[in-house]
Amino acid sequence: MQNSTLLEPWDAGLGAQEPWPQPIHLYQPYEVEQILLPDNANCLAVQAYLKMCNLDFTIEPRWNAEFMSPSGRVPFIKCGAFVVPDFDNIVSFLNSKGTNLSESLSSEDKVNLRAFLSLVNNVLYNSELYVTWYHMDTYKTITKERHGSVYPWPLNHMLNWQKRNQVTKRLNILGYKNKKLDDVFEDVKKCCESLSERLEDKPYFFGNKPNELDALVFGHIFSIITTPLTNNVLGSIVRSYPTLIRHCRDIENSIFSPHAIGINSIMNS
Amino acid sequence: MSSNESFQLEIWKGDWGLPSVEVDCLKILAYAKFSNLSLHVKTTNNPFKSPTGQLPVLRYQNEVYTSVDQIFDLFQQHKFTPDIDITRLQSAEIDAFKTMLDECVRPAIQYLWWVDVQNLNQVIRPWYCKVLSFPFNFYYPGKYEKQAKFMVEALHPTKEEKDAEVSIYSKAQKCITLLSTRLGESNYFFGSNPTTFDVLVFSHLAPILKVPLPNCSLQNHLKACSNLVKFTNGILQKYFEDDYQEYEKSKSEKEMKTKVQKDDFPNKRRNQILAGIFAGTAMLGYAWSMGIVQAPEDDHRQMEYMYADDAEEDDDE
Amino acid sequence: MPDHKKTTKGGDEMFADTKKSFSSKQHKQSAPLNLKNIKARVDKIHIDGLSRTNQDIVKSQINELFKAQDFQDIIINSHNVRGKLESLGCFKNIGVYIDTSKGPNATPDGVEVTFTVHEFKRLMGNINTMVGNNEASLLIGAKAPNLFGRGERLQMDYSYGHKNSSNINISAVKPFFHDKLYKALTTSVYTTTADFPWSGYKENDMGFLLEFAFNANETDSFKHQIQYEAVVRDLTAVRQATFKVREQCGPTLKSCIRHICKVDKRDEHIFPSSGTLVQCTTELAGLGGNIGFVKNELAVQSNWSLHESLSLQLSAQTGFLRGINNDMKLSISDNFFLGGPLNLRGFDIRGCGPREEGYALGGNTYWAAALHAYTPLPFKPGKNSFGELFRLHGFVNAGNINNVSFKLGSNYEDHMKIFTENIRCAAGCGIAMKLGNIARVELNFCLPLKFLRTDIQQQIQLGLGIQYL
Repeated sequence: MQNSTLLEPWDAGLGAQEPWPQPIHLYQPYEVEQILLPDNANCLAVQAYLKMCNLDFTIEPRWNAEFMSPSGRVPFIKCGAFVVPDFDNIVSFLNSKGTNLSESLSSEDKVNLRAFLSLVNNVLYNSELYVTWYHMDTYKTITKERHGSVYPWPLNHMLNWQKRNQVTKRLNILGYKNKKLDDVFEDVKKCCESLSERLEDKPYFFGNKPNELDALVFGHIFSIITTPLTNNVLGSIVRSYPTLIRHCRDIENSIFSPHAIGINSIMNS
Repeated sequence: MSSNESFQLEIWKGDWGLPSVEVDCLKILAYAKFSNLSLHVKTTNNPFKSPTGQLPVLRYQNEVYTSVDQIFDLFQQHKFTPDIDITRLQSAEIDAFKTMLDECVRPAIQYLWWVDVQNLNQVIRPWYCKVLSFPFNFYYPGKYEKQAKFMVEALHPTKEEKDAEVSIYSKAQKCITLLSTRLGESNYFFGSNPTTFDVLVFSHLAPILKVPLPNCSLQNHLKACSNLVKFTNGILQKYFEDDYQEYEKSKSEKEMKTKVQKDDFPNKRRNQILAGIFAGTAMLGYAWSMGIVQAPEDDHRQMEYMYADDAEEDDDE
Repeated sequence: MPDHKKTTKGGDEMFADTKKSFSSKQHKQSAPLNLKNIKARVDKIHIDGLSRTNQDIVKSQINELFKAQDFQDIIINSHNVRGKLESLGCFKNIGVYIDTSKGPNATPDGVEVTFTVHEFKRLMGNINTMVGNNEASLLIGAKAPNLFGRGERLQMDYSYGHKNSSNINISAVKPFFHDKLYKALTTSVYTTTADFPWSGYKENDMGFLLEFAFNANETDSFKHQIQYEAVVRDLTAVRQATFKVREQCGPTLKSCIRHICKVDKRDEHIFPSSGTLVQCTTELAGLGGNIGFVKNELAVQSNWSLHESLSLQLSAQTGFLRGINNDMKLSISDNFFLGGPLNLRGFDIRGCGPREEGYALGGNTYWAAALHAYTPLPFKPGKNSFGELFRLHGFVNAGNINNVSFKLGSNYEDHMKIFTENIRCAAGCGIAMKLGNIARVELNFCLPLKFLRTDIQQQIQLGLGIQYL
């Protein structure tokens, strides 16, 4: 049903003759001094997904990861000849290479999965952008300093201003122009409610096996509760959903601690 | 009911069998229909009095509501909602699909209408210019066009316009395919009655399906998903019968007309030929009178001789 | 002295020739009448037409005229003064009149010199269109000359290309005329966009430039320019660009000082027949910002006229670039590139040197040399007019570019490899044309003689440029 002109480059079977697997390099900003909440969430989500797929990868921190990325967003992976940005694209790229965590789902669940991915990608990501760039306190005390940390004076001020403009433009288009901080928190609350409704008390969103939605939600929830911000409302909203916190902790234990690799491989087999 | 007590809705007018051509207006209309709420609908076609410069606007008890979420909340407060038997999981799904439609389909409609040059010049701008009243038709179409371009720029800051177009359309197509899979063979997304889910899907798909645009890649894609076409047409027929019938009627009338015009065609040809002959005669006549063309005089004489011969023969007999 | 009452109303034609030809004409004329033998002194100098221009800068330009001893001095000096007044950049056209002096204070041999000047308008503008570099663009310029009466000027140029590239340059120039040696201070701010498809990136620049230029001798042949430049360069990779180019993306700030020293003793810029040019550029980046390097470039050009219709030109260029420390980055746009129709002919633009997946990466060391033989068009059509705009030339050029490590302990032979290994060489012939005495166009047929497999060769090349090898 797809028009061939609308294919992303990695769908078209370019480089199909390339051997697989190839070493994967994940490019992202510096974690300690540079990365910001929305980017961190996405980077963590990609890392979690790659780990869930049992794919080895090396993290390559770069000051200009954002500008290197073809889409202007971090993270992106380099895999052989391919440079693939953004969580969704990375997932579909890996799917095209035969690594698929949501294959066994029913077709209805697959559609629902896409919808929930979209929910997280939009509501949580945009709310994080709002808090990071729109909320003046956070912008002045945290964002400015971290985002500008890799640039020399006076370039840092110029780029902070430029990036803030870009984000503001995006958020205005998406209807955040008239929203107050509380409205944004309300959105987050609603989103968390929907997610925890979906999760219930299952170990993962769709049954017993993790898939891309688990990775994405983990990335966002983990970043929100661990990133220090000027006010802690975002974190405390998320904390008030115990199922989500439990889910997050489970994933953290199973894939991000060294002794948990065994559990992970059993889950995947 | 005094005018203060009723819900007064200001919307863009409908066309092509739609009760309104705009996604958000359709949302409100469909939501009201599905929850048996009667609205006092005014097709103002003029967003000038709207505080945000957009339609729809809902006025209720001296309050003005402009965002769809606000209006839905208001309806819910008054116990008007199509989501009666909805589980919490289903309402979570509605939320998820709402963001998906907003992310994937809405930008595509904006692009299709206001950025695609062919569509804009041939259908959309003329339509809005016709519908809007005098001074406003110079302002709003340009404003909406600018907004749509701004949207493409803001959502795809690093891409060239062509790449942005490709990615916007491919996202929308994927989303439509997903919806088609999700709907399957059922009439509505959650069982046999329409819900907010159906409101959202219907209001996004109906304009794509019904507005006849010269560049219709998305419409073709949607038409390939027969269950979604059936779904959209079903809702239009059942809930917005008047608009649907009226358009179908006018369409068939138009078809008749074109047929008649086809029958007229030979007449046209006859007229053309007649006109050609007339013009030719006139020109020849003019030429004759000016002496540019002259019949050779000898012929006249010959004719006379011939007549004379004839006469002689007659005499002989 | 009736002969000496010679007015030079036709000064425009007379002084349009260069000083040299003027004096040689004088020598030729010296047989019937030697102007040197006629004593004369300048009593008075009139300047007509000054309104905005301050007197003091004009006065400082005309002093040398009073030193004249004889009539030839007067003529030559008044020509010089006219040139100096012109270089003030305040006057549209200048006429010179010489007359015997009259009145009560007149001396026996005295003459009066009158300069009639027309000042520029307060604001001048121009609109042009330009096609070049695969892009058509519209140029709009505005200029406010002689802003405060001492030759200060403010200039704005804006160009808009059909591919949405826009360049803006606003500069303010303050010249100093009080000394014998010309000095000028220029500040400018600019934004430019440039596309480098050969390397797979686009560059957006936003910068500030402060320049102090002065002449080291009284003729214009020895010039210094000292510049400070701060520029934000934003590189964006094209979609298919190789990863090494992609890694360079993002905005960087270069803050550098540059010294350009130029000795130009050629008789002409574009088609010289004699004389030598030496230009030496030193650039030090890293005073703030995050780009740090030292860059040296040397260009030499020498010309000989073997015959009236044959001149030889030998030119050579070389450059070195090295980083200063590990904290400071080096950008791909600082690298040297070799190849192109006015550069190393026979190769595509940036067609030689290190590359990856077809995209030129550039190198940190290069050299290039060319030997040209120029002759006018055969049978000399349009002699002394349009024919002078064209030359036929045959050439051989060679060069090499590479990344050489400057680390301590790397051995001398490694450094010399650039002169012995992988040399690119091409020969060819073609036609060259000069455009307005600043740029030149060449159409060449080239035959690459030595090249590497990765190089991109071109046999027929058309090029336009200001600098050439």
